[in-house]
Amino acid sequence: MKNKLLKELQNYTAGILSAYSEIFFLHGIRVGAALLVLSFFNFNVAISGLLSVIVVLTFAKFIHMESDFIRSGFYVYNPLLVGMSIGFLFKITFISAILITLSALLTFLLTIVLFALFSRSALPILSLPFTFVSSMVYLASLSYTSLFTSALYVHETPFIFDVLPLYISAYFTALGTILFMPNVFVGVMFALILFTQSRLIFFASLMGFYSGVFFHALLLGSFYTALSNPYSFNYILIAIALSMTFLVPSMRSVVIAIIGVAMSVLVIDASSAFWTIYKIPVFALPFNIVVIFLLYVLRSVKFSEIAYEIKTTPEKTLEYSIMSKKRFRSGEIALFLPFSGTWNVYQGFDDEWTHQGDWKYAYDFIITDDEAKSYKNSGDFLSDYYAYQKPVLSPVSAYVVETMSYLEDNQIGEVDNVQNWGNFIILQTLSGVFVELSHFAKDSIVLKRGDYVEVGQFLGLCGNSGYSPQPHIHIQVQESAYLGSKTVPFNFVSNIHNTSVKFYDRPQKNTTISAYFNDRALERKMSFILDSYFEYEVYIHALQQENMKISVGMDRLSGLFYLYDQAQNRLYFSKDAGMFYFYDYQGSWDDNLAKIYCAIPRFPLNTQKGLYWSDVVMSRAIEPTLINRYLNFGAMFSSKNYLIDGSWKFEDEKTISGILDTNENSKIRIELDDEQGFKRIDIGEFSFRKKGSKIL
Amino acid sequence: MSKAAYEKPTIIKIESSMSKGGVPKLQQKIRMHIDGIKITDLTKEYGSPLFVFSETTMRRQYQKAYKAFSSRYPNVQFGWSYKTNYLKAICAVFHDEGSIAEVVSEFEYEKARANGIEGKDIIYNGPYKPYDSLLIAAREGAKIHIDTFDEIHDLERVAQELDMIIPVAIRMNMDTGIYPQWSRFGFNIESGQALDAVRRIEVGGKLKLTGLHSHIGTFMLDANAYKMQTTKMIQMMKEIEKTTDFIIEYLDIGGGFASQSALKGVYQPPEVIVPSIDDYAEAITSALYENLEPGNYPKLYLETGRHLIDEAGYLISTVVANKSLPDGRRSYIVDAGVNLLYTAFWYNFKIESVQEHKGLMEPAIINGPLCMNIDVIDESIMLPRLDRYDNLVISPVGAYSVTQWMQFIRYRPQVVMIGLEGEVDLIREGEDLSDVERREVMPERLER
Repeated sequence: MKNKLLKELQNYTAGILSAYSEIFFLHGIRVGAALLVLSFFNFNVAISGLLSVIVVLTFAKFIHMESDFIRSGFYVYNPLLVGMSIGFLFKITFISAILITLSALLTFLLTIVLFALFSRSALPILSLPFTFVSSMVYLASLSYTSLFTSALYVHETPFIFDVLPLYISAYFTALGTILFMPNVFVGVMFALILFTQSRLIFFASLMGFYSGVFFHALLLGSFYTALSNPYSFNYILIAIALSMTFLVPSMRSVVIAIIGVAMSVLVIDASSAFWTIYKIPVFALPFNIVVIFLLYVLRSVKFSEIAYEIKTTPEKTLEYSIMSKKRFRSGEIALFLPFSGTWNVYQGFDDEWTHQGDWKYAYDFIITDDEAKSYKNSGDFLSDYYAYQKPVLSPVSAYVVETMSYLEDNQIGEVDNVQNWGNFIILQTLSGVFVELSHFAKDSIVLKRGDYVEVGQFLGLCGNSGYSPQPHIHIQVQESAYLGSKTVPFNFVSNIHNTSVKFYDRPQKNTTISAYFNDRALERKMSFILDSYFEYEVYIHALQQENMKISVGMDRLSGLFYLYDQAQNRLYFSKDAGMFYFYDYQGSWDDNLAKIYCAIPRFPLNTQKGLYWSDVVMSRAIEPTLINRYLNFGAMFSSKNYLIDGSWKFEDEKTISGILDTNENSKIRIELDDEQGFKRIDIGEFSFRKKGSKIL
Repeated sequence: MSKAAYEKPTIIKIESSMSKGGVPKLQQKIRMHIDGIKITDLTKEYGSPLFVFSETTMRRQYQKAYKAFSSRYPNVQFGWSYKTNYLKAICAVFHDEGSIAEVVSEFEYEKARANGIEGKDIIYNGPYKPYDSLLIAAREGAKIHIDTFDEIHDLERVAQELDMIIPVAIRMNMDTGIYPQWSRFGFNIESGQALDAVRRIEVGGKLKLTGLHSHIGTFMLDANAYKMQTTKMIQMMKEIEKTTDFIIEYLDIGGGFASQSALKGVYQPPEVIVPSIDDYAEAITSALYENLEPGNYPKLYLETGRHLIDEAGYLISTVVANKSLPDGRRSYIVDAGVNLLYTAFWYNFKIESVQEHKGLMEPAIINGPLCMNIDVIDESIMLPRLDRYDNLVISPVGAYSVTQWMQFIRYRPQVVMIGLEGEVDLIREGEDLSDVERREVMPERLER
């Protein structure tokens, strides 16, 4: 009972504090606590804000919302802002407390409603609920005479920090204004918090503020007026949101942010002229309008810098994005090879023959022999062709949306230019990707519309129907379910060229590539089950230093699996696409778990001797330097200093060797366990040797 | 030049009811070269009889077979069937192509190890595996295929002794619609014996079942039997995975693919009745795709031997004498007999001469050099009149001959291999008296 209460209280506190950090696009309880303390610089504002947060959390509890929602702070920062905005106007009295309570609840509801509407287009709600409700409250309160007589809050400035010139103090004032404290001292403190939490956010706040003031001054003709504008905090929020949070930090994102800031000047001036008639402040309306408009457009054109995974700081978002682009070509559709064995790329993307125009993103595959011929004997008969009647396997897990299988295979020397596509299958994956395969042999397709196929499932046999001069497999990803619709780019999840494994690769024309199936024995070895754990002895320079326990955990919200150590660092892993791989690390890069990430970031689930592959790891886990540790925002311009290339190779079915391109050329050796996981991991001077385990 | 010896003339009626337009002239079968090397040069250098292996043919056959399977099902591994031919050089070629080893006795196991093959790359089959060899095989991580309940018992003792869980496979037999059904190896599926064996293994708790093996027969002329076999094995695999904790990592469908050799008693020539490797591959892989859960594909092991090596082997022999038999047939005595070609009891070999001869073809019998009535290489063949010391090339003899040959009455001859560049290498020297006597021990009291 006591424990339960304590847990409740913890959830509450976490919810309150997270709400404070959310306002600055930050995460975490400590930042929230610092902001909460600072907010008491203006007691009235602080109490009003706190009151609204408590009201909302109590209400959420009352209607039995999940505690995870409460904890996150996501639904709470808008009511917090509303509470503060009321506290900025009225002193805390019984009547104003009622006003705060009602407005906070209204904001809370609006937050949930807007979230439901916006999330369909994957758009953030930002502080739109706050802007809306605050304006409403200000409008409504014009007629609440009792409030104005009893509780109007006359601001007195405790002490003025006017040692600074305006062009500096204006920035700090603007920062303070975000939490309704237009005060240089508070601004300086906020700036410090931003700087310690994220150099990138701090940089964006400066960049946003001064570029906004610059454009405003150009139009106004006065820097003084531009600097003194009370709504210039919008520039800061826009810059942070666009260049750091919703877009991955990069030069292109900065350009977008500056454009957004410049546009907001117009919105600020226009709306302040209009809003002033009704005596309401503009609040963060310009920020909301500009950011939401821009994001909507950028998302719809699939702007390359859109951050699909927003981490706790822009630095981490940047890191994650660089790694997933480099390692997984994220943002592009990846298919499995549609065949078994070794085939040759007959035509690639944008190729000379038929892969042109709307249909340029397609691959054709044939089988060739040592002399690069696709047929034996004279090649006059279909049966002379190696590809003819070979199985075509499903490149995705998907539903069959359309198929045809009755066309005759053309004899060699003839093509069917009426039914170009020949016998075909169109597949639709659960995520809405359409894949089309063509030129199947007559009557070989064993599926019908509505069937569900798994990756690697037999679809039919390679044939020569349609516009096909020789038996081959044609594969493309297209925009819709209709035959002949426009194609889109894609890559293949994995392929083997000689003994080199390429992941997320677009093989070149005339190269020979092989597909592989997962090795069942290896796959079983890498099937980590929740709550299993492994104990390792950690050696550094061959001296035993400590013990380490790695357990298997699952994220309750996302359902993703990870390994975690005693320090609760998390290393996320997955086993699909023909490989076992780690893809995300949350925790201290100095800890041993990060070394394991770097030792074996991924490997194919196929133990063919001599198979080799390359990958990249974060350099700061291996060679921590000042630059890659604290100045990691530099990766925004070039990721060179932050990544290390490595290559790995299967020595035999239990041993993988590798090397990282560091100054010392860190050598890696992995021994797979007979039962499960890793028996031994050596990287540089570190060695992890399995001591015991509990396998479920 | 000496005068030819006189011989009494005979008249034989060569019967043929083929056509009214006369008997089509029989074609003499001539082979002057093997892989571009002149046969008479080979005998001059290495003597006669002489086994000749073509590395080119071996590699070509392997690559063709591998491609036929891997282009249909990528998770394929060939295991070189040692009993087919375990000469070091022959094994080396197949291992170089990517084959692991398939052995059926402790002797073959030792041979594979001596060839540099690691335990994990050896499939250990056979109805009798001595206890000590099981101990070694288990320790070295070989793929042990259990044949009997007694062997389960033995292996559990081994597991106890080594204090380890031994991964194993069981061999199964089943009805695949062919006759005769091979039922003496492994556990029967239809009677439920195979499943009993699996349960027995599970209850024992010392062995881990990771594979299923079966070998339905040899020189299989019906590719569909393999489809039936594969289907039944997958049904078994599903049953095992459903009812036990075992995960079947591989299916081994054995060997038995036919070669281009003519079985005695089969009327049609091999070109007509022997399925191509693509036919076998199609039958097997279609059964895999039809029955397996998609994306969850076990490794497929094949223990193909004969199909890969038979056509690569030739036996060059020399006519050492000839005479006519009382029934008028010509009898040629050659220097290679059933001591070298045990397989002659069931195959009609292709017999070619190294040069064209003048004259009509006449019925003949080819006898070996043994002082045994059964020593017949071909009892009814049409040949032109051959001269003494003419060479005859007997093929295909790559499979089983150099493993089943006997040192009986005569020494075993030299074996050469013709490499990819036409280089001729001696891969086994001809025997002499010391080889035969090396293991003999003479009691002192009998010495003279």
